[in-house]
Amino acid sequence: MPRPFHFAFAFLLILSSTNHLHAQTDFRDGFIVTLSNDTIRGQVRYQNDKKAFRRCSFRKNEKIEDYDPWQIKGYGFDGDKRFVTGRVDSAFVEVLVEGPLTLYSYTDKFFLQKGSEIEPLEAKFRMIRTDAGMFKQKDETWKRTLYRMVSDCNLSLPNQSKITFTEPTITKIVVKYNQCKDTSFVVYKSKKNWASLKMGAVIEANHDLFFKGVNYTAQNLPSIDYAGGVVFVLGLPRINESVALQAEILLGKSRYSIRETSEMEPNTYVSDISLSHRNVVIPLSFRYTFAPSKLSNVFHVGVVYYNINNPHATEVTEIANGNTIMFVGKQSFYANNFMGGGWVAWGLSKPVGPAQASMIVRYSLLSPPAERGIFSPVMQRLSFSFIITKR
Amino acid sequence: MRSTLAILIVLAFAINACDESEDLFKRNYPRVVTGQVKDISVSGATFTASFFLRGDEPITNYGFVWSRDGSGKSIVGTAINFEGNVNVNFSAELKQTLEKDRFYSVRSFVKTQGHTVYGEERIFSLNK
Repeated sequence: MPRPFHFAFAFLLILSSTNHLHAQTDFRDGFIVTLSNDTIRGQVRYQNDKKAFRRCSFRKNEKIEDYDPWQIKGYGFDGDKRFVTGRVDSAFVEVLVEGPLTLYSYTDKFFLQKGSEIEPLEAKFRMIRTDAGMFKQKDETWKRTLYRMVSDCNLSLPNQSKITFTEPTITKIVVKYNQCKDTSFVVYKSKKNWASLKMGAVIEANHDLFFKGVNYTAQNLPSIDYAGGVVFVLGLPRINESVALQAEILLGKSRYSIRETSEMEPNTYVSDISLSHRNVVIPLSFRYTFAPSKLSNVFHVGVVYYNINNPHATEVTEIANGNTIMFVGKQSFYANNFMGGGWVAWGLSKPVGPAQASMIVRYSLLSPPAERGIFSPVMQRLSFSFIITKR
Repeated sequence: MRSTLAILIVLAFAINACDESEDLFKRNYPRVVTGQVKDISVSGATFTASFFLRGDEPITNYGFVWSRDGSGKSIVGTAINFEGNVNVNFSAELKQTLEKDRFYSVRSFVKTQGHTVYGEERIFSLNK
């Protein structure tokens, strides 16, 4: 297996194992409703996947108990999701809107309840037989069911052909209906936005690594560069709290110091190569935070672009023969105006008061800062970043 | 939250503004640069030199080595030698009849207790 695939495989393995670990530990403030209608407060395991419909893990006084749908009437999280039983056999369903017209979600289906009438909404395909053969057709029954259930209110609804089988669309129609009925209703998760854009700050320290050359000794002198700037995080918390698109704009300064030494008896040639530049760095990444509500692992995968300003590329060479030194002089060489590449990062993220603080380690593979032999075609950069955004 | 963000942003820019000292090129011994050859005439010329980095070692001798061989390969030649320490640019007058159509070469040099350092060679002639 080629080396990059080993890396990708290891990355995915770590990702999946850590995901499992955090699914086990992401308990949030919430409650369960017992069969005798008692509400018991505690902490409930937060699950973004289908497991949320099958089982509820409830923690109280450090004791965790699992509940199947027939053991309780429902469970929920403070200011967030609410699940109830009794609508689907042996399963919890998520309550999206509760009122004269109630909307539930279950796996890839929705249910509408008005009084004692419960209607499923399902986007499925049906097979149509014609003279030309069998073909698949979208079953639009759900649209007719939805419009029929709200038909006793004079709502201005879009044409049926224009609506889509998505949670935001159906929720919006159900909310309109309940508003029209002028009685109280609850929209769960209403405090959670569909989309959120958060701004923050980032500060980082970088260390560059080069591959060694073949015919000479290249010594990367220790150098640490710094960068800082702003970060923007675009998330879709209603759909998935863990995934976000992150864009950063950093101002940085990089310096590469390399001593190249070659022996040609009786002389030793020494070249000190120094390249420094100021840069505007734009890293873009997908961010995955396992449990955003607590200390958790965070992973990034992304690309980065460096716009380089005012590069100073200098090479100073001397030839030594014992104690006699011939100073050849100082020369400039051409440096690139941009660099680009990909990066992955791992770190820890934790809510701190109103902020979300993250400490991450980035590993970047970048194009070289100069097309000169001493700079390998692929440069490695290790960065330690501290990122703080609004929670 | 806003104040934290502001502090971080200011800190980031402040760090970015810091300049690191350039220690890559540093040596204990001085490194000399042969400057332009000036006032070239039939009766001589003026050699000049400066330091790329002076270094810490005291200089015992300094000057120029010049040669009628303008090949640029040799450091052997006639020396104009000064004794003592020098910390800034230095120069020397060559009082020698220069021949037309001949190329001459010159290198600056400095000597310390431990090292002899030559600057790069410069070629000159009356024709230029």
